[in-house]
Amino acid sequence: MNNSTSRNLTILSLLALALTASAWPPRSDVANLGVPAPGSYALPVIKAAADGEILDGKGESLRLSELTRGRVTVMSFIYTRCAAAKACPMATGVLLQLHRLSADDPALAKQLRLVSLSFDPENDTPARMAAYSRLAEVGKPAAEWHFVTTASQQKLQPILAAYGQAVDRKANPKDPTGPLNHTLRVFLIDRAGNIRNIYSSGTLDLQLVLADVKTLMLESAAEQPPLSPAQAAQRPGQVSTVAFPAETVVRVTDITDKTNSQPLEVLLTDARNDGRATATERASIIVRIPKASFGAFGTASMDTLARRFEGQGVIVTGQVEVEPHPFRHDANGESLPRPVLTITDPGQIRIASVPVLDQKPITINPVLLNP
Amino acid sequence: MTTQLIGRNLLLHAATSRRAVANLIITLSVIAACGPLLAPVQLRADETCSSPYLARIEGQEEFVYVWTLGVEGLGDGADKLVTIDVKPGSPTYGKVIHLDSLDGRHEAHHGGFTDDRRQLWLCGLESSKIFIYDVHTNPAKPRHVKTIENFEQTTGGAVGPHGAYALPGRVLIPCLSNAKDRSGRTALVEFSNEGDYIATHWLPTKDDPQGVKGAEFADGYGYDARVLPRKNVMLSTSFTGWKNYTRDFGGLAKDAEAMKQFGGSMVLWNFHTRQPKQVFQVPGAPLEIRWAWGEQRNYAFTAAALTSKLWLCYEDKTGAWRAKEVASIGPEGGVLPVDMSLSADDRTLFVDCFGDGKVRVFDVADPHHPKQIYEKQIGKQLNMVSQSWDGTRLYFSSSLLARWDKSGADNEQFVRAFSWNGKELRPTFDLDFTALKLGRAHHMLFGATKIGNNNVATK
Repeated sequence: MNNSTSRNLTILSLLALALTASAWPPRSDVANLGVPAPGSYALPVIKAAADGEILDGKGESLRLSELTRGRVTVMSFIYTRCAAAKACPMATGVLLQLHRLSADDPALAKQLRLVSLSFDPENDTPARMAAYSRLAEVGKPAAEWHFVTTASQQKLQPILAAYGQAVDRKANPKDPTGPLNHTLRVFLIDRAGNIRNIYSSGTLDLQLVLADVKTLMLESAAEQPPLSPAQAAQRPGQVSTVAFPAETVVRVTDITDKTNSQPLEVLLTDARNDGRATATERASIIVRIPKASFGAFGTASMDTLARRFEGQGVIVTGQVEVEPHPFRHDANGESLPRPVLTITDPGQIRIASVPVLDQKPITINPVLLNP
Repeated sequence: MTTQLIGRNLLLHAATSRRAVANLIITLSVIAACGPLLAPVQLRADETCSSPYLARIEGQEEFVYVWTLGVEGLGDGADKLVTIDVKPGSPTYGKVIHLDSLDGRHEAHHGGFTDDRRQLWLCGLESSKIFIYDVHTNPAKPRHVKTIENFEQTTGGAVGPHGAYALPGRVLIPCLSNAKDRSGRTALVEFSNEGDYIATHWLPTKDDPQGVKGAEFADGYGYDARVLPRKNVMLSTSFTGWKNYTRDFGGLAKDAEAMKQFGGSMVLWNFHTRQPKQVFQVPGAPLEIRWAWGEQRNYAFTAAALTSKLWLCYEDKTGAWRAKEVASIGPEGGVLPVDMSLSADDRTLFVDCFGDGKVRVFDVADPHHPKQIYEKQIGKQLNMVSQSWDGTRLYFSSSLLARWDKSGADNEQFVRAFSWNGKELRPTFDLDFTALKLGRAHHMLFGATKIGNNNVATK
């Protein structure tokens, strides 16, 4: 980076920091009503994401539908000559932040796709889009990000019409913010290729977009046949739906303080105490509901929460973490993984009306246990 | 140096470094997130009571579109879209330059643009039909291109679409009633810009509180719905149902039971999730909602028609939302305040009063203590008002509802334009919609041949 560029970026960064520290409020104060918990609200289908003929950074032709199905897609219409702060740079900035977040979130990296599609084919050639795409290189695995364009206005216009992306030429082609007038549009598309949200400059907020992405990820997980605990244990870091009988719901308090019976959390387990070990020691799965989330379930009482689920078949959706099982080991004596899911919203759990698993009873015999 | 120039120069100089480009983009996003401070845009036209997501007119409004109710025996008797030329210096300034009549009468009431301002959606309160016009191809001659015919069936029973409010890629339609019992129980409905149904959000009631705070006030009624994007909140108000608004007002006013069927609530929603969060008790049918535009001003006005009171819904210092009565409108006995317009600088509120045909102007620089500073007789009856962004031009129209408008000599039907210099309204032009055989003039919306994008600052 040359000295002039470095100086300009420093000035701009200092200016940006000064402004964010000022009394001027942020553009979107979602903290007012809170960022919604993923899965706690609906994202109805708006319309099917249209197909079209596009070019990738190598100039190879592909169908837009290849980039709008199979993953949760966030697609932004941009042009690289745009210098309007509340337009393309803002949209690309949000996608960049999503991209960087995904580098530290394997589930997000695996299920999210980002697409930047230019509506300026005369200037945004495949080579230019390829050069522009270098900003997406983060040095570790992250969500795939495609920078694409079209071969001509003839290929572009049907796509713009289908997505309702209004673009006009400005009267002044030398306008410092860019020669094209356009409404900012970013689309959230589900795995099936349906548009589920449309963002403009007034609604494009990183936290809200991320909540929407995760809502669709939960939806995808909930649509799959539920896994058994053993299957879930093989998918650490992934959002999965797991079914099991909640044989015992454990109320956890701080036993070091006998005067304080305030709950810390409740744990759903698929085991019972058998006199030799507790349910939490024997369980092949643990689902945690932390105290801070009790309110979302409509109660402050861990007893009420426990009674709701105890003895029921449950289907739970959440990100799987794993911990070493306290009693189960493989042939080499290594602890087997046990899935642990933390749920914070009632949308992540439902009661199964029929038994969902043909699960063998769990036995405790440290010597004989095998995977 | 403006943000735009900074951005462009940096793009030119930083292109060779991918990390520099990435940081530049994030920095520009941060600056964009800081609001309009760095990107001031001079707006002169465009109504102040429009959706914040709407693409803006560049320059001055050139047309006023008037959604007009047909009157049997007057002209063609049909509901119609009237286009008035308001281009300064135009030889047809202040004249009707185009008409598009529909089949029949539908209780033409309110409408709104899609967010790209390419379509104008006009709603019929009685038929529940929505007429979609192309105002982009030739803004001087809007063309009817589509009708949503099956609103009741598609939405699961919502009726009485009361306007169209632009959202990104979608239109939000607050309704007034339902097909089951034609009471005020109703919903907010969403359609895509292409006219395809998306969702119905029924307002909370005591029996179906949907987790709201203040459920005891939830009557399920609707009227207006408007968003404050930076706070992720939406407010809705409450009027009355199909049984009442299609009924002759004289008979309605004498029916004590029917007069109880008016809304008395406002609902605060989480806009992103479309979930109602809080219900405020606001007796007397609170109608139009006007959010302030200033970035630090988190409040909205509404007027309760039956009590003639001005209300303020605001965020207090703790972040909680509250609603309170802040002023009386007109003398004892009430004047039926209906439409309102808040100036772009949030200092002046124009309140139209159907009862006595006056506009009352309030200084609302302190929103908690509004003071009336002016009033003017506009006509024998008065409903709608539209104001230019620079606050120098106001347009007024007359009709409230076909069966509620006054009769005889008091049934003036007009569009009247005025200039406002901060102290008084001076007439600019006057169109007699009865003499012109057009009908009852209702909702007015601004059109122009130069439309910008909707990515700009609002001040």
